[in-house]
Amino acid sequence: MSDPRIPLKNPLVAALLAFLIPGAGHLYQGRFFKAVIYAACVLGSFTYGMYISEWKAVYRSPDPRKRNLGYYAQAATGLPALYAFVQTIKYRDSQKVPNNVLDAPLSEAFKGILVAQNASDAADHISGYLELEPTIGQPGGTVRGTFRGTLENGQSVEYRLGGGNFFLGPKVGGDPGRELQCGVVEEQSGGNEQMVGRIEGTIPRKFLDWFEAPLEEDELQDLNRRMGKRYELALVYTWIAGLLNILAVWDALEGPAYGYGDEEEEELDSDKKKQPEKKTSEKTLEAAKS
Amino acid sequence: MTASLALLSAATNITWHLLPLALVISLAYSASRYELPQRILRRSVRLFFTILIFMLIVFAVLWVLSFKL
Repeated sequence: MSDPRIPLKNPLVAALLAFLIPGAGHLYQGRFFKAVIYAACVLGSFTYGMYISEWKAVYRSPDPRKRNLGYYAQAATGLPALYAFVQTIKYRDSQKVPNNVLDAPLSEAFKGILVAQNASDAADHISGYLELEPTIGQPGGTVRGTFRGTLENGQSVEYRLGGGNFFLGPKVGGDPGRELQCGVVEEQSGGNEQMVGRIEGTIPRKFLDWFEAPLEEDELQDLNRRMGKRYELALVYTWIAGLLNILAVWDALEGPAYGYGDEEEEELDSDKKKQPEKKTSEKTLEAAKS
Repeated sequence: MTASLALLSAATNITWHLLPLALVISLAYSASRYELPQRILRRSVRLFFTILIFMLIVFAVLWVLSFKL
């Protein structure tokens, strides 16, 4: 039974709010000090964990055979982690789209390398802007377009894109960069096109398409290789955030576990009052003995 | 600001990251036990140092066990 001095209002509503946004349930109940503590501790540790993991600590595995115990701890943080559920569904849908087909015109910034058809040539780093459009049903590959940008030494370049060899990563994925590979063609005499190389790199994914999206196995290995224990530490921070929010939800529902906080002091006071009485009774006993 | 924070985070020994973690655990746990702010703060300070001492003991034991390894 909660202390009547604690304004729980509607405890179920408060618990739901506390779950969805850490601190919001206590704010609704007018327990401002606790709202600040829970919001700062839960959201602070969750955000810090995400930050040191390059915002990749929270995701839900799309494979139903894999256990997601870590994610369930994170999910207790509420809305900040629940988006991973949506991302898993979006990820599964995006996996159904073939990787060698472009379904709509594409205009994006591109960063990657140019690999010449002659394998002895070293790859050049390039960055710039590419425009692609689907050409399904036409000869010369599934896409056509141009790349305009610069080489690593600052030299401006322009390439015609097309031919085969087109690959576009899924729309939804755990990395901010979406993989793209496309052939580079040159027009030969007689109007024919010949493939002279390919570009390999990434175009940016929209924030809502990569945030909390499932990571591929190689991306996960890359994270562990680059960050080592720091990635595990990030996971611990986000797990702890979720577990702490369970305490906050319970507090919003039932009130504090041990009471208001002045009980022990009252008991101490009453003990002090009782002590002289004991001494008096002891004196009486001593007097009786003598 | 963000870049310097990232640099600081990368340069810091991973063990130091346990201090803020112990602090948030102490605060949130104590907040779930009591209602009075002074009581919450007092108990969280106590819990924080308890966790700290526990970690130091574990650290010392591991350090002794790994001596000359």
